[in-house]
Amino acid sequence: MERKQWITVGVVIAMVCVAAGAIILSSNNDDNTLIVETSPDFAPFDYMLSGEYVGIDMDIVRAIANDMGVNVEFRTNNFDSILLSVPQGKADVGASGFTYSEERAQSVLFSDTYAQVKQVIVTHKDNHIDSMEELKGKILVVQNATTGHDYANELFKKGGAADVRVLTNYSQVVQDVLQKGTYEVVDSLVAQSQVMANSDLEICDVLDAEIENYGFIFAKNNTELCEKFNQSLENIRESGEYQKIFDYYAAHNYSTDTPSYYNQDATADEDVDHTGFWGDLYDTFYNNFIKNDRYQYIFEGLKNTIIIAILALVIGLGLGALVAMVRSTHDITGRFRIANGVCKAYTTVIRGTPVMLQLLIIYYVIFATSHLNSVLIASVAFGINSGAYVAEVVRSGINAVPKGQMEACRSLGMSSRMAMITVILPQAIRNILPALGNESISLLKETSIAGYIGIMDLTKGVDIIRGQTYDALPPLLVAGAIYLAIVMVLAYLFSRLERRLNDAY
Amino acid sequence: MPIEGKVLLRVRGLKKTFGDHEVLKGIDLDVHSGEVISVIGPSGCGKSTFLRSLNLLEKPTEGSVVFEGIEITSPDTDIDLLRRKIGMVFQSFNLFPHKTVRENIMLAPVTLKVMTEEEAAAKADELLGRIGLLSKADEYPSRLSGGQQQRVAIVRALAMNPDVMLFDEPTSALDPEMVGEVLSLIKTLAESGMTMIVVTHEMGFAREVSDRVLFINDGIIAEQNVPEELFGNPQNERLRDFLSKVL
Ligand SMILES: Nc1ncnc2c1ncn2[C@@H]1O[C@H](COP(=O)(O)OP(=O)(O)OP(=O)(O)O)[C@@H](O)[C@H]1O
Ligand SMILES: [Mg+2]
Repeated sequence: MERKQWITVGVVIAMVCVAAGAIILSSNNDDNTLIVETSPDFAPFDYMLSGEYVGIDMDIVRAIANDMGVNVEFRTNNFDSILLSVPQGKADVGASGFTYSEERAQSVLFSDTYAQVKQVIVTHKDNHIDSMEELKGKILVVQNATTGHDYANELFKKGGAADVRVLTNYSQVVQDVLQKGTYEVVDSLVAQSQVMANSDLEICDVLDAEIENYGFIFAKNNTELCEKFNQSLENIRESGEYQKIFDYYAAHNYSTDTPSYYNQDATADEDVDHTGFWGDLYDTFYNNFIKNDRYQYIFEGLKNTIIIAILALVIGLGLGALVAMVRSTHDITGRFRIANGVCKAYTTVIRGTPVMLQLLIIYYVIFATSHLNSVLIASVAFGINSGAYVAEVVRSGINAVPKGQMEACRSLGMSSRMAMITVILPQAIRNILPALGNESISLLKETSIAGYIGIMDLTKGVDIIRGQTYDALPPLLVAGAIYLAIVMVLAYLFSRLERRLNDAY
Repeated sequence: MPIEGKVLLRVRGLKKTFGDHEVLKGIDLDVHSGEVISVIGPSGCGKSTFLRSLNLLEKPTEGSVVFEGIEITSPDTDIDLLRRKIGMVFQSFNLFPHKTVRENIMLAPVTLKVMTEEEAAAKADELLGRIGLLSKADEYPSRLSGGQQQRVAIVRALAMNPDVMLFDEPTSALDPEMVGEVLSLIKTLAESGMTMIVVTHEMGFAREVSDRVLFINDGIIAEQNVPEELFGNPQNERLRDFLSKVL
């Protein structure tokens, strides 16, 4: 390799190391900070405003932490994923409107009740109903793993509804209600907040549901923290702080524009209302991206998407090249019999199972008790996935180099390793560059499932915006455009690289 | 037959089987220093397999190959070290397409640390000068004609200063008008005293250059002799049959 190329390689490696280091350092794990996971699409309990975690849950946790004399760090995760990560100790507390149930209490510890709600129906004004009977033949829609989900299932089994649609977050649920005329089963306070944010919705309090008790959740063995939480909850009840928080949100009609009780100066931006086509377009843009600094979700998400994609690509290339070398060496010399078997199993399993399952397994099983930053874990997961594809690509590239090349090297006295490095791989790389370009493009797009382990990547970022605006199209379009732009840049870079190599000889 | 030189390569009872197909059925041969041996025989008789067994590109099933006093098939032998002294030229040239002509020649001496970059470059230029291709030193092989490529492949092997050169049908892949330039280079090499074994279909060349010609048939050396005798007075019936077809 030329000196210039070595320098380029060095710079890339250094960048990757810095990125990895920054991620590790930024994961904050000191004892005096509680890691609290929430799914911030559950106003008025959990939502985000200008990048800050807001809502009744969040403020009560702040009040409790204050009483306990500790700091809090809020983190985003999917609602159903929090029920997994808290028992594993990936977070200390789950605060996302968890209703107490015997079933959940099997796997997590519940604090004392801090709020009570009841399941109601939210639907489009045009689809108003007066009684439960009218739900017969109607489609119910719920967020996965909520008590509304359980209730809807029961009702469906008894023949009280035609179907139950299960979605992963409330923004999707509300979208469904508005566009498909379905009936959402949801907690009463959340319902109020949704109706505040969208005047086409209304609450139909027709269900025979029981009162539900919300509690914070902890790992089963973390009774110490749970007891401290209960004590502090008692303290803030007595001091009146607790009631003030509830009153504050009620006074704001549970609107998603309400800032934190502890940061009331951080007022939400005013709504804008222009007329005409361009005016409407501007309003839409303003609402989705400017208001309350919502563009920050996109920037932050994009940052994570790019970090994961780059780290995973580097891991994938390294791993793939290694596996390909082991397998090719085995093909040529018969050495590394066991390693070859392992590599073969690796590529077979990884290529034969969905990347989504691999991500979940790596995060919740393999790194179950690890406190590594989830961005790093995701990078490893996607890197392991990509490595299997890269390995096959590299191997076919090596196989495509004529056998005579290796023989010429060997006949000159070079070892097969030397021949591989100086003669076979450089030619293989030219063969495989187009396929590697494709692999890096699909890798980038696959990172969009990182949200399932609680990472705010680009896709999750626009999801959060949707959760606040209940307007699906603009954020999705923008995310799509960003992915497309990156893909086009990648494709351009690879085609240039290809052309340069093709011109070379 | 000039048998005066010391024995450089001694082959005894060499056998090679692919699956249940026995290609070589027991070959014995002494190659003396400075000797030029041509190997002829019908297609598929095992000429390449024989040649490739001499530097262990094929692993003999049985028998021994002793090069400069060292048994090459022994597990204790560092074959890479021996191969430096056994140059090989292939039918399909096998130049490295991603390296320039000069780099092709320099690669092995430099990566094996038998020469410095400067020494190897000087050696490459000297060899290229000898074959009249110095002007092509910075070209990639794809820009050269077949004959030029094969001549570069020959000097690439020479750059390691081998004690013996193995040629496997070095002109078979060439257009007829390029055969001459390659043969004349091999001839010059032979005249300079290089020990070599040449598998060839060029009977005229074999007759002119060799000290000895081997006729391989059915996995054994069916006949061997000085070229005048072998071509002028063949004893083996298969050899007569073979010569009548190729001459
Ligand atoms: N790697 C291999 N695996 C199986 N059979 C092989 C292998 N290499 C050679 N053979 C077989 O061994 C026999 C001899 O092959 P070899 O290439 O040595 O013949 P050759 O005399 O060089 O022929 P040609 O004049 O066509 O080059 C052939 O029947 C061939 O099919
Ligand atoms: Mg042959």
